[in-house]
Amino acid sequence: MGLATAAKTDAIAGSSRKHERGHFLRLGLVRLTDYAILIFIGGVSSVPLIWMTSTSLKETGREFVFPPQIIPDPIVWLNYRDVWSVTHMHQFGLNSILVAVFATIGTVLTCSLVAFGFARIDFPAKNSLFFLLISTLMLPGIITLVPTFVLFRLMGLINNPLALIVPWWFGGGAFGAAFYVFLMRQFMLQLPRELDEAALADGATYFRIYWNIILPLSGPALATSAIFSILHHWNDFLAPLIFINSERWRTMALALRFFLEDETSHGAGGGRWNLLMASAVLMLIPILVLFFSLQKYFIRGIAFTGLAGR
Amino acid sequence: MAVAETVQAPRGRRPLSSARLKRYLAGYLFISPGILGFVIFTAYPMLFSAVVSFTKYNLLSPPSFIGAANYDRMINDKLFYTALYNTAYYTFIGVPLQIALALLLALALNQKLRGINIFRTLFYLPTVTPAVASVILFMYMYNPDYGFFNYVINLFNGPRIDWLGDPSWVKPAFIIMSFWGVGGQMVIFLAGLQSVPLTLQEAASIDGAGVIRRFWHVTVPMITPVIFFNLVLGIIGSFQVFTVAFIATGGGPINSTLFYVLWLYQHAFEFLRMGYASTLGWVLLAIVMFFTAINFLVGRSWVYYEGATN
Amino acid sequence: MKLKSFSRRNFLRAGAVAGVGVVGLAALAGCGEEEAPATQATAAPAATKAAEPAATAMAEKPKPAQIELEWWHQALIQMDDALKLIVKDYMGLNPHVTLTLNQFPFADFAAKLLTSLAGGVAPDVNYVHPQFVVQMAANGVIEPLDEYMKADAGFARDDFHSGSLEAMSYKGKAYTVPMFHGPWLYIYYKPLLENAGLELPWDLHQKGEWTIDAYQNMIETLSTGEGDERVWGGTEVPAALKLQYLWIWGFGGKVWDNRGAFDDPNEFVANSPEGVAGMQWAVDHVQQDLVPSRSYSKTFQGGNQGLFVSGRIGIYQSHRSFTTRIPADTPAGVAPMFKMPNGDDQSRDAPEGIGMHSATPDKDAAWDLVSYVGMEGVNHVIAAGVTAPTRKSQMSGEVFRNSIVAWDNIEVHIAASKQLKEQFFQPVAYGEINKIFQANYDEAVLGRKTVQEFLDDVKVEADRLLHE
Repeated sequence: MGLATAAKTDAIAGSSRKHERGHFLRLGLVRLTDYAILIFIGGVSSVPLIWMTSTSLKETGREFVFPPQIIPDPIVWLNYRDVWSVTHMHQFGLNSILVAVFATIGTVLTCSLVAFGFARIDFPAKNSLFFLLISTLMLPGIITLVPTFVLFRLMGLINNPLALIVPWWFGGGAFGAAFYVFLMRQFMLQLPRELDEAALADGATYFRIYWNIILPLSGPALATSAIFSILHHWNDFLAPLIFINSERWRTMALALRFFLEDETSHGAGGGRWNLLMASAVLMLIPILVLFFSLQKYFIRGIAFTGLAGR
Repeated sequence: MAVAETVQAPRGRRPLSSARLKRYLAGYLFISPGILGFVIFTAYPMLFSAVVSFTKYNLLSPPSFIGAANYDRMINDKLFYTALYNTAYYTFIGVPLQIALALLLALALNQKLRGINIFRTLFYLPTVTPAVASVILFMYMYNPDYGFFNYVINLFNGPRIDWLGDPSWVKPAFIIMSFWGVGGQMVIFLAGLQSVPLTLQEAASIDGAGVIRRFWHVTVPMITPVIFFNLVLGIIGSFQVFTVAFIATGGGPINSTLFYVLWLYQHAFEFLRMGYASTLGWVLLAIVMFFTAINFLVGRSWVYYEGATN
Repeated sequence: MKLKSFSRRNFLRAGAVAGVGVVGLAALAGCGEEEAPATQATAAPAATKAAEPAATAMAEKPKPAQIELEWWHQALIQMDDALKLIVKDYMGLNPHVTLTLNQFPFADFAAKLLTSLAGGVAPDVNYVHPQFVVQMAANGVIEPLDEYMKADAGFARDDFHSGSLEAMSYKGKAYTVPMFHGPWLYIYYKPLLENAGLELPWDLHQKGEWTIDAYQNMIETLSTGEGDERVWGGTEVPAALKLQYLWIWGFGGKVWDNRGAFDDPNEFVANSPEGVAGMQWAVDHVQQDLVPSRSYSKTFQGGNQGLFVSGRIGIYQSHRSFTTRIPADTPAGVAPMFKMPNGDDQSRDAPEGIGMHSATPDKDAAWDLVSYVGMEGVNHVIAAGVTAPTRKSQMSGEVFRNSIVAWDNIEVHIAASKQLKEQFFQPVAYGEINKIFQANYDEAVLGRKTVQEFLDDVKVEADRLLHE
């Protein structure tokens, strides 16, 4: 019934505005400038996609000539076929999806538990433990790569896709996942305390409070965490580089790096840019679709909060 | 589920203290995945790197203990100060601007307009673009003759700036480039704004509060937790800036983009000085932790949590 | 409260999926743990020792006749097919060998290999970057190959270009077999030269008149125009010591002293008058705007190559792998290295090769692969246009001839390979010295230091690092 509630609040808002005709007109003008601003920024933001798509359709060796061409001549659609076969996109893409989905489920589930503990329950050493988790974000991962590698080898996680998933099922204790705990904690701290107190008085357990009250009200935080997590795993090349050896479990983000070239190579910009951009476009599209479709969860969040908060 | 059982246990002789005990237990159980993850995946690598920071370690033969020599080396290392300065410059100028921009964009998107979903997706585009692709694109926008930025400056008869070749312009150039990635912070703000109860906005609106007053007195206080989040993580993340310099400049010209973690990476995997790299890493942890602690202390006076206990 | 039940159902569903996931993951992780080598009691990163358990496990397969080899290579997308063809061919010829090739991106290979070696996982055969050959050899991580070369009748050591095996040697022992060869080439845009009435470099070379003065004259003449008409005569050589040393040598200077052995330098001596003259020439032609600056070519779409294809660069300093990337219908020509002031036309190679890990269980099998790749397999890499032939006899071979683009000239490549003589040595501290060199070079180009100051300052730091 989230939509109905939202519609209702909307209706209230609408009726208060419709009193004056002048107000209404002014609103129209405001909308127009709003759209102008949105279209301008939207246009600027689409530059990379346009540029990437244009480059991805150019002939090898003529990706960048002067004067620049927006619409390439000739248009080389074959680049996409090449990139699909060269990078085994069907397989690497599936690997990326698998890692992103399973790691994200783990992240959202376990980090929301931990965040609930930090946000809604008081216990000794809470702040120190929270700071301990946050501090894992401050040490550059480069210097812990070797011992992590040794640890993973002892656990049998080298060249094993679980290396990219399992650590994310531990509520922010490993790698950068404390980010999500912090994020969810911030949102959970925002919910009125009376919710828990009333439920506790009714004899509810903490788990019920977490599951039935706080989680449903944390829609935006969960959706944001999910999209960040998916994006992180989708674009992360370091973990797949270090922990995976074989092509069987290579991910798209790592495959993209194969198009880069050394700075000292005499071309001052070697690499197969057209193919790099084609694979970047292929990587971008699923994320955009996902982001577009996840948005309703942001919106639903308002309805929940509006209902429960006041 | 174990949590539910424990908390549901019959009330003891001293209801107050037993309830407190249950609360503590519930708290620890909720955060246990994170603590467990820290113990399993993070504690050993952190400890290992701390020990290695007192050794000479070239990754190819076992580390040998050299006392505090790496710390001595750091104090006398001119480039340590250069890297620290570059990174602090990038962080303390960049992060506040990023946050302001992200908030503005989020406000622009937090409207009920037809097609707003499309704009949200467009605004998020630069953030989901693989870093490699957007850094390359930006390098072209900085071309002194054909780049976008000099084109605009030229319209106003400004000077011809050699963005990436002039040591005094390259850091500002990188900060401008970082604005491209504010989509993440924007989404967090958007989620935060979505959680501001509409009823509050309406109440203020009926009271006759103008847009700007409503923003400062209703919206901003309600989203201080997310502002705080973006500030803390902005600083932590910004101190670890790496990819852009790794791809675009390699630290030049004249070490003006030699960022701390780039310098650390070069020591680890180019100069084979993992011992010194670990020293640099731990010193970075101390520096970032200092600023984070300040943030948390100062945050108490300006961050408002609806559901805070004290 | 219907809202909540709706959402809860969603969460329950997700939870159920996740629960199944966790159980699955735990089971898989459990299996992994059992398989983990139990002998490795300590996690101390003793690379050479730690490699053994993995290697032993490899050898203890049910069928002892079957050999498993793992080969790690630093990869470029252009080389992907070629390397896979090598594997296919090799396994076709050696049915008892299971060869696994794992490639890692160019920019990340060092991080990958070093972390794995330190963490106790090593391939049998791996790509070796010139910057790490000394470190790896000195720490006993890779195996000296001379004995294997001698014992292998099929391995034609003398057929490799002079100096290319030596480039990857340490203390007189060869540690890799070359898979890459790229002497300097000067690729020119013919119409620009013809319009300016300049004689073509290859013609000059054949008359013995392709000298640094001819080159200087050429780039000065060709550098013309403003704005969209701008043409640069030449290109800047990247500011790495392993490339810039040619100017120091060519003007009669040295980079390292000669007191010690070739591969044990004591001192950085490029701040001699000859070295200064060489670097002065290099810095001058950047300052005089005869070449697009490094930052400029990086910010131009496609870099120097893009500028060249658009007819905006007269002479483009490059090597073989870039000839195949410039479209075949470009009106281009190619010439080898010009004569330097010392009368020599010494060129630079960029040798890269593969070596074998010293802890590999079956060294003969590993050598057989290394030898095969160096002698036969490399043909696929040549055909892919990534490298010039690594051996003299391949220069006139079918494979190379067929891989040459329309405007290219095989005679030039043969001449260029003959220009390779002495090799530049990269000591342990090279990486760090090079970073200092680069920063100081930038300062000289921006006019903040004289070339003398630049090289003097590098010397102070370099000498300290050489003795560390």
